[in-house]
Amino acid sequence: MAEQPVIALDQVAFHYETRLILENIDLTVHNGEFISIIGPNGGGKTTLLKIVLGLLTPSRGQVRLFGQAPIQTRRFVGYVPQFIHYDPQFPVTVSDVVLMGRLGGRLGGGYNRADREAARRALEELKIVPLANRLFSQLSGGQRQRVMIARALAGEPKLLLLDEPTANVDAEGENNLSQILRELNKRMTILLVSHDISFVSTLVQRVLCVNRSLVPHTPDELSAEAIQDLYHSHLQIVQHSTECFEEGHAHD
Amino acid sequence: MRMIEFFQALADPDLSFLRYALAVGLLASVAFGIIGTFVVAKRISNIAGAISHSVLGGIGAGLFLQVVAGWAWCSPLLGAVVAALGSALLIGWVSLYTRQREDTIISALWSVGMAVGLLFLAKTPGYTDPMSYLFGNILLISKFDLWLVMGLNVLVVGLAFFFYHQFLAVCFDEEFARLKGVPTHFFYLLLLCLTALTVVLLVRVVGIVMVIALLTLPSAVATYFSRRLWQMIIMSILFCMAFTGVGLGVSYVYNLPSGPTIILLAAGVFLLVIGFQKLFKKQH
Repeated sequence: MAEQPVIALDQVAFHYETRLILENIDLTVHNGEFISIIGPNGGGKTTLLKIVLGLLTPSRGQVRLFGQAPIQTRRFVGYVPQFIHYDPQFPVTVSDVVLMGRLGGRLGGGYNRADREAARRALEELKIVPLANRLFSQLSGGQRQRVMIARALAGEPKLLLLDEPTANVDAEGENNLSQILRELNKRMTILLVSHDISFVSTLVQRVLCVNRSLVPHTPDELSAEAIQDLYHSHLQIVQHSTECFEEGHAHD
Repeated sequence: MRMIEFFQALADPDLSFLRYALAVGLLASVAFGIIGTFVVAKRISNIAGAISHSVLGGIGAGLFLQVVAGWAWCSPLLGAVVAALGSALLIGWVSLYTRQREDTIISALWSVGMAVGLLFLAKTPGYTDPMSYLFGNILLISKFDLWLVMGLNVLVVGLAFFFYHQFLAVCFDEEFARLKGVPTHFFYLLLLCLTALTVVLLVRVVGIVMVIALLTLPSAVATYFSRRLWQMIIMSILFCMAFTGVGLGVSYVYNLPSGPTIILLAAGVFLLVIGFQKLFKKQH
């Protein structure tokens, strides 16, 4: 294939001190794909994202982002973290936060007209223009999440990485979020990390299960055995084909 | 009004130290307001505390080398600057590149700096009173300090102005700033070094022990009146000026030590603001 993959991991392993977190990870993500990484807490999902972004260096294997070392190309990635450790009294407005998405590739100085317009478009796309002058700390979880996505979009990324986007969002927020992501996938590659199988199964083309190693699935194959195998326990199971799905709950 | 005495004293040609103290205090408020805002927003006031206490080690070493070793070019101020920058870089390096317990290193540096300073002072002949370094002594302030403070202000204001958005992003979400290509480690170390220089300059007014309160309390008060980081910076500068100016006046009129007066005034206002905040539960 002539087109170079957006993300290419080759036999990646990661240790935290002496503990093995990830091993034998091979992953290729192509342009325009919508992929989800699922897996239990502590299974290495966030670690894998941070390796892709070059925030963590793998102990083995090779990482390529847009064909280069992540540190060279991560400016083209829109990263939406699960939470940020910010001071709740930090005086910063929504538009301040969204403009941070435009920081890339400058030494110092302020934002120009193109930066402000890109931030404006991102606010419009997420329908949060009325929040622009609100304090970030006064927002609800769902609003804050939209601001984080808008900040990522302001940088006009080619790849959007989201870490647990449904963690602080209610059911309605989840619905809106899937619409937004579906729309965004028309123009960019999306990789999202989640433990919420019901959310991802309706959206994505490919599901990767991470629990130290990586097991690829299509959403249809997310069988009960595969999930149980992954989580070593009973949990909410989704069988999914095109748009309709049925849910089966298994309680312990 | 007894405050008139203070203004009369300021005009008295025999009391030039008082004018210098007031001028240094007001001018240094600019650097303090800016750096204090970043220190409070990034929540590194304990690091700033360790840096300020390590300054005593530098002062002691500077005096010792000047008096005992006969290095004429050495001075307590030079020692203080070297010690402050050294400890800032050491803490920065520990927190960025090693997996040591940062809080342990910070408190160790805090005490070791004091211990080194007191030993050097004890072994330096002549009368050197650690009290004036620990708690401030405005009699030590000279015209030279005025020039130093103005130089530092130019540096701090220039850097804060040019790198405002970078500092904002590093304080708010360092990881994201790094992904966007901002050299966050550089900005973190720069912030610590500027903190070190700023702290050294006001040690003579309020002393090593209390300088950290003057760095953080104005910004802590300003937090309640600002929606943007730049507003917090301006408010911090104004509060810092008010605390040092009024504090110096009160301490002169009632013959009180200047450092504690300034700090208690700042702390009192901070408590009042928190109290009012709780009482009225404004939308901020």
